[in-house]
Amino acid sequence: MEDRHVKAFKEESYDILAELESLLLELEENPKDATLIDRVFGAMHTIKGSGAMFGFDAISDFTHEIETVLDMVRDGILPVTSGLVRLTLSARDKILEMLDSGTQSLDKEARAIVAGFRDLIGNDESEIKEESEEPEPVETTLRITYRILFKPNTDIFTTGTNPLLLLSELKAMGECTIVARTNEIPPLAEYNPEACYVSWEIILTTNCDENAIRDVFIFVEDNCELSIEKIFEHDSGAESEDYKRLGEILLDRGAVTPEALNNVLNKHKFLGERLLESKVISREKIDAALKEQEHVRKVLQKDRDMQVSSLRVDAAKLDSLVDLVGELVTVQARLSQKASGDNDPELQLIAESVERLTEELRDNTMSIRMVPIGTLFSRFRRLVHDLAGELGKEVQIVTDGAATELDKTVIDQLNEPLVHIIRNAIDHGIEQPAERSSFGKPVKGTIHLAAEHAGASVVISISDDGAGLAPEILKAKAVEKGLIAADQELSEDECYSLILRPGFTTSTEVTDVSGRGVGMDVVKRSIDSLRGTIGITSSKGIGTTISLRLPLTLAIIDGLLVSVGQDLFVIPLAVIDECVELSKEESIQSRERSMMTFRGQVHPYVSLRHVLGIGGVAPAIEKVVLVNALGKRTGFSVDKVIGQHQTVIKTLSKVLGNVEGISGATILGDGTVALILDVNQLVKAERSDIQYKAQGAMPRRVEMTA
Amino acid sequence: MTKRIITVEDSTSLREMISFTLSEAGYEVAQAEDGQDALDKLTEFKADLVITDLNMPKMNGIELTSSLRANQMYRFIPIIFLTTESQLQKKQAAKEAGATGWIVKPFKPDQLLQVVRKVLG
Amino acid sequence: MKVKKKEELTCLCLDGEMTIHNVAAFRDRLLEALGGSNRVEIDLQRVTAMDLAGLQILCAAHRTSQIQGKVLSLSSKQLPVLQQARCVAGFDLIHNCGINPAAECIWVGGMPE
Repeated sequence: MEDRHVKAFKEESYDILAELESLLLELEENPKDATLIDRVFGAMHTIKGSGAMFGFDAISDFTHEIETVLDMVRDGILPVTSGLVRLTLSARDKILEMLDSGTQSLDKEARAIVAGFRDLIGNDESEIKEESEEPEPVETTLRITYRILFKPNTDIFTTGTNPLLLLSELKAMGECTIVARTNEIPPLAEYNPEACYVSWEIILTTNCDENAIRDVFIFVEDNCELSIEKIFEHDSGAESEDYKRLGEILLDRGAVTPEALNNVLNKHKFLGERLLESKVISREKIDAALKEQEHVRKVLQKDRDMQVSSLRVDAAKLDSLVDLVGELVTVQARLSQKASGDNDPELQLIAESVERLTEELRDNTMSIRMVPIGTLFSRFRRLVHDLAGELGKEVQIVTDGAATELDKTVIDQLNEPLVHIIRNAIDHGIEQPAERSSFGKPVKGTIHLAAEHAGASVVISISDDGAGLAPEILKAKAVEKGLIAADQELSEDECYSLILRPGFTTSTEVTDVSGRGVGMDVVKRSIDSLRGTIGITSSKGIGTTISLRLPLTLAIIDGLLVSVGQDLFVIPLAVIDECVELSKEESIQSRERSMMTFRGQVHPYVSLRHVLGIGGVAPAIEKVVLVNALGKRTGFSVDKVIGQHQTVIKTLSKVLGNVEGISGATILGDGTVALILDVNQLVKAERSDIQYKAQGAMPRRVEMTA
Repeated sequence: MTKRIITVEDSTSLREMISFTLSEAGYEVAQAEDGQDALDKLTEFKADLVITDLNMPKMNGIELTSSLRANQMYRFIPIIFLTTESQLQKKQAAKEAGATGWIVKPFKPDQLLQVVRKVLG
Repeated sequence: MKVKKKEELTCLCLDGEMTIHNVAAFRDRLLEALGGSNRVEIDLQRVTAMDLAGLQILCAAHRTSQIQGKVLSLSSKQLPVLQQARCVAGFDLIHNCGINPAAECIWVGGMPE
């Protein structure tokens, strides 16, 4: 609002208020003077209307109350009394004051004046009226097709209305088919140039509701016949829907009787032509119905075209595409190898092109299924916020590795388990603010969500800095529930794992958040079904971390192909730091642990032959692949390093699915099978001194789940 | 072609506010203080739209509407009147006299422009 | 507005705004043209504005010609102001108003696909 406009309004109001004062004094002398009453009313009315427009809402509200009473005086319902005049005078003074102060609210004095006016009409209940904002036209997500009949009165032009503008407004609301009905237009001799003879039938497909359509006609509602009928609801999910047949539309519109339709249907030919020939219906009506049919079909077609832009594909088809690409990658690798040995420049050129294309094809194929986990993480911000609020706790969420990509189907199935874990963390893990500060912890608890690639897996960890788990309480609970025997010895880790058992819940109280009964066992089942594993670590008073290790079921990884005896293994390149040679003299055997010095440092190393239980004797000079596993450098000694290899991970069959240290297998170009090593698991197994013992020798041929 | 609008209102502040809003939106605007003043100005200023208050001295908005509808030159011109919710009877009278539409006071500049576009295209 | 008589074919060149404000004058010109000829071709090339009243009177003129057994046609259907008005008004019908079942509706053709 321009200042000068506000200034003009104020100046004008001062004039009106000055006039109002003298009018009121005059009215006291001549209480029956109708003109005076009218002018007093008019002055208040102007102030009320303009006040709201120039931002003096309080004045407008205040004046509204006075105007209501003055209106009754004007209509002769209330008499002019000296009391009324005095009250109006004090109201006038109040308006002047409010005008100067620019206040946005009614003070005590003003409210007293309002109460005084209300007393006059014996009404002390009504609230001070508030101008309601114009409701925005409601846009529903549902698209609806309406049939609108609009027949303006013949004199519509003399109200200054241009009916075409109304039709344009409808056109702007969505897909619109407008059919004019022109049969009432007379020949020129009888033609009244001022009359409107046309009416319309409009088929409109829109997100707007019926009220929005009625609003278009708001100025002409007394000047036309209008009917709005819902004829079709578009369900975007349905794919094979089709619109009604002509006969149905005509029946629906009442354009033809069922009997007449049946009579005609007994003959052959197109329905429209038959109806016309039998003269039960006019051409115009059939055309309008056909237009309706065409309109809705067109909209449906568009809907279908839209759906095509994102395509739903059976996951199995994608799987087989990934398999094929994997095999192509293998063949391409052989081609490149052959080309580089062959000294044929032309072949080398072709091999390079094939290599480039194959890589692109591989990346593309993989990206079809891969989605950054960030989309999942971001959903939890609201959850954390709401849960914390409900429980009166203060919790923040921190995320890491949101860009880590995971198979979409895995991500979809991760939502529920993660929600459950986060709920537990906030409900049971993080303490009340007072409790936290008494422990010297920050009042605000933290939930840390992280995702990272770990070889052929993605590890998602959910950490809280809450109370932590108490192994002895978990154990006692399990005994109480009859899950374990009282004398059963359990390690700490095993105690933590108890929370994954069905029927186990530690909460003694039922809260809205975690409820009772369904516990972490549900999470376990979900993760199992994704062939993932759950790890739990916890420190009392410091917090709990739950790690979900999920396989990249469809991943193609870059790996290093190595051999031990006759067996081939793939080590994911991502974890490899270096390859070094190791002669027997360099290795330091200290009890079961093997150590080696490399660049002046002592590193532990594991003999793959030993750890996988493969027979035979290691060659004099072994190769050691140095990997970064579980945050530490560890070596794996192998017989030979064959070379870099792109690998399609094939999942092992159920029988072999749980072999520790092996995450999958791959088929090489010549058809032999190589097992993919899960380095972390191998190192972990080695460290915790749980000596890995494979059942006999590793299988030469591994059954594949194709 | 620039559309021309005449705004008829006895309150100077309101009239200027309306004129300002419309000019800013690109319309050519004339101002009149009452119905009679409007009729005088409309002989020179060929308007495409009339926006008029209802209560005015000399000639009110309803009388103005009736006399424009009787004038061949302005028989079909859109006429918008300003009203308040409490003026139901006058609103009916204005519609019967041949008004095109209305704006309820108080209104915001956007609401004014919305109605103007609705009847002017 | 000019009327050119070419043997039997009368070419009626309409100009200016064919709107509610002056459609009465067009009625007189159309009546005059149909009164003096059996074949009338209406040229709208110089029409600068068209609204519902304009479309309506062209339709009325066409009906008049059919009742009188005459021929009336539009020669400038591609005119943007005409196309625009017809599009909004839904005047792109393919049916016949029934006065002369053999005659084609005046609103056949002239619209962009």
